Amino acid sequence: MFDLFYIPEIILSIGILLVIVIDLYIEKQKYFSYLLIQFLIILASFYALTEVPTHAYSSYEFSKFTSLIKFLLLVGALIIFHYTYRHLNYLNNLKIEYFTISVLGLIGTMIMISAYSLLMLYLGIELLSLALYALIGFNKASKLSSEAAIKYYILGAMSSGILLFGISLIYGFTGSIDYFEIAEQISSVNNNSVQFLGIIFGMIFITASLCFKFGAAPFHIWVPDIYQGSLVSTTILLSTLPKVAVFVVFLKLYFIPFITLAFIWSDILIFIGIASIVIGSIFALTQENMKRLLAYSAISNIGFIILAMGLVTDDGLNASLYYTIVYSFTALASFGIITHITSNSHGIEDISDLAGLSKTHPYFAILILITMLSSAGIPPLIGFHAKLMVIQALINNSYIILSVLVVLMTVISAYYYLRIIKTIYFENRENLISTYTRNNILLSINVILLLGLGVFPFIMFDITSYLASILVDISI
Amino acid sequence: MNIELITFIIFSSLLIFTSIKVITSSNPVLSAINLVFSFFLSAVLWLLLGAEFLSIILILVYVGAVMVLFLFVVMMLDINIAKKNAAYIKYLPLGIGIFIVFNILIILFFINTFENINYNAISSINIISESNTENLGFVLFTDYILEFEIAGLILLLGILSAIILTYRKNPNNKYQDPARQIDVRKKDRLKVIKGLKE
Amino acid sequence: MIPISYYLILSTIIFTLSIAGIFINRKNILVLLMSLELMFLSVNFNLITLGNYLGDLTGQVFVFFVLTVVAAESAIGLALLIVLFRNKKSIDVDDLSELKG
Repeated sequence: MFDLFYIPEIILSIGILLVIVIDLYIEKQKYFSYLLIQFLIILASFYALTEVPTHAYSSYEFSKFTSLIKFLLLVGALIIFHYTYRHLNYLNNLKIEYFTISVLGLIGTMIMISAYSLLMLYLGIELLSLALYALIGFNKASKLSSEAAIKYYILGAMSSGILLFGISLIYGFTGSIDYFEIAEQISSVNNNSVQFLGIIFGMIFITASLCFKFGAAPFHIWVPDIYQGSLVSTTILLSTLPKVAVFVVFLKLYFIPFITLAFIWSDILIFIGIASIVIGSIFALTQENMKRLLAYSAISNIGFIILAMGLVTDDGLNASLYYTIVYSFTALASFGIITHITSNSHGIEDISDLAGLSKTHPYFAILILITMLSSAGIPPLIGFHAKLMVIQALINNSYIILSVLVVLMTVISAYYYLRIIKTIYFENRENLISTYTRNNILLSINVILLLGLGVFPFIMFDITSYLASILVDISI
Repeated sequence: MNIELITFIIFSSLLIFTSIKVITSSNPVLSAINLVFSFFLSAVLWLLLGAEFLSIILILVYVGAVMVLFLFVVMMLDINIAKKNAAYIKYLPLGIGIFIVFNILIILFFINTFENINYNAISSINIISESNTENLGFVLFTDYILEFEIAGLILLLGILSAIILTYRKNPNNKYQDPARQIDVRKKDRLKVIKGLKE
Repeated sequence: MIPISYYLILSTIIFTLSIAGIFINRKNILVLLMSLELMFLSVNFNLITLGNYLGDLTGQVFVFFVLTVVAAESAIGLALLIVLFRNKKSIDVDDLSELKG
């Protein structure tokens, strides 16, 4: 019984209860509570990497794949909290509750990853969304923040309702909420029966809701508003951890219970992917606000991930895994830089604020240069390999026209990334940017890795192909 | 016509009526009261379906706690009750359109769908006694224990975030701070002015 | 015995009413939150009906958790509403217009 304690979720849940109580007594020493939380996350990530629990619980899956993804999430959370602490400290808005709520959301993402029944999936999604509602509205004095929070709340609750409606249909027509039993039921259903139609109905409702949580194209309305309205530290959290978790949920849902319906959902996913890429690339062209621009860039990146997943082949799966990890890595770097460049409580707002950054803060200018070139997909950097893999997978499956469209959209999106670089290096204006630190080792490592892993791409190829191989072991 | 069907027809038509009132009332208090009625009516219908425990919970938790919270917020916010404005009329056709399209799609689909479905090999949970509450409790603490604990985490998160979002120190509150009272020294309060003569 | 499709049609009508309510309501966010409550009620209706039809308790267990989660969710929603009201002195849906670009 004792080895149950090594499960990262349990370490985090027990630890966070302790932190809530301890924080009451040492209200003044916030740094100590913060260190305690970071220690918890390091402990949890250590056990996530070293121990794969063997306990069986029918609706909760432990495997090498989930453990590795959890490890990646925990490391991401570690870095995000590091930036967050310094950012909130600078804004004089430091409350330990920010971290406790984030950790509860982190537990939600881990539940989503391990979920093996629709009930567990629902609970994980809700734990994550509830945490995000609170974190987006955390900046109470700001009108923008509270407006963003209520918008996200209404749309998020509506999408949960749609998810539940889909789940109820799946439950009604297959008689189960367990992934494995659903898969068995669907494979034995006649393709022309009403029951089959009902299952497809339910799957479409679930897909719509998950695409909302992902921020993919027809359901992307909230993304720019919420990115703009919330604190930068919340925006990093919003653009990395939930995306990875929802991606894994997509993989598990489509490749375990709905695998026999692949001929239907692959078309839907390809459509959503292409729409996201097009909308994300074109709408970003006119944005003046840095956070809105990055939001549209996130939409188009998610389009790439969904598109690669919709191919339902080994190389498509590989490409989508690769792209997800690269995307979250790049998002971590780009938003991490923005947390360091601060001129007011919402971080930098307009791109024109960055003019002349290369003169005043050359260190941050170089970091932005590398990150933006990587996002644009310029060859030696890692973003190039990610985009290349998706396009290769498209061509291998003879989607020639789509691959041409995707390349075209990549070229268009390179324009706005390069515009930021042009503003930084070639426009001279007095800028109001203040930084609270001259440099940050973690941020530098993050950005150097974008370059280094791009020069030696086989390291990441090995990791993702290993992930893909252990994923295939589970699902088939 | 049996008594069950009559009950169903009466309560379901009332439920639809109150639901329409919820979304169309101009006064939020009326909306809330109508929502309370909807909860009561659906609790009765859930009883017909054999979910006794849940129908009681719906009234106790929903009407007793959540709807009271809603009414409390209505009173606290002190909102002016506005007349139905032009925007409402503007979006009404859209709403009706959505309503009709969705309903036709789904209702056509549901009619007589379930009568001819055969499920193969469903593992149904064994029901141990006559009492719905006992069965539910048995399942909840054995098969769904992990989910039950996660629900606890969700409630904790709800408490934490509701407090952190609404709590604020009121600067107008008048209170004594003993530490500052003790800290006061003579020179802070008393100023000796020398050489004051006419 | 009432046919199962009656219950499902009833819950579908309530579900679509609540979605229509979210779209037509431009005056008051509170009523919007109530529409969301109505939506979850209809989903619960679906789950209980189908659970009853299939003869297993999973549907009811699911409803139990949905009730719990929605209670927490509406608490957070109302807290956010209060924060919004303190900032803007209004809870009109049409006043949510500062985030544009």
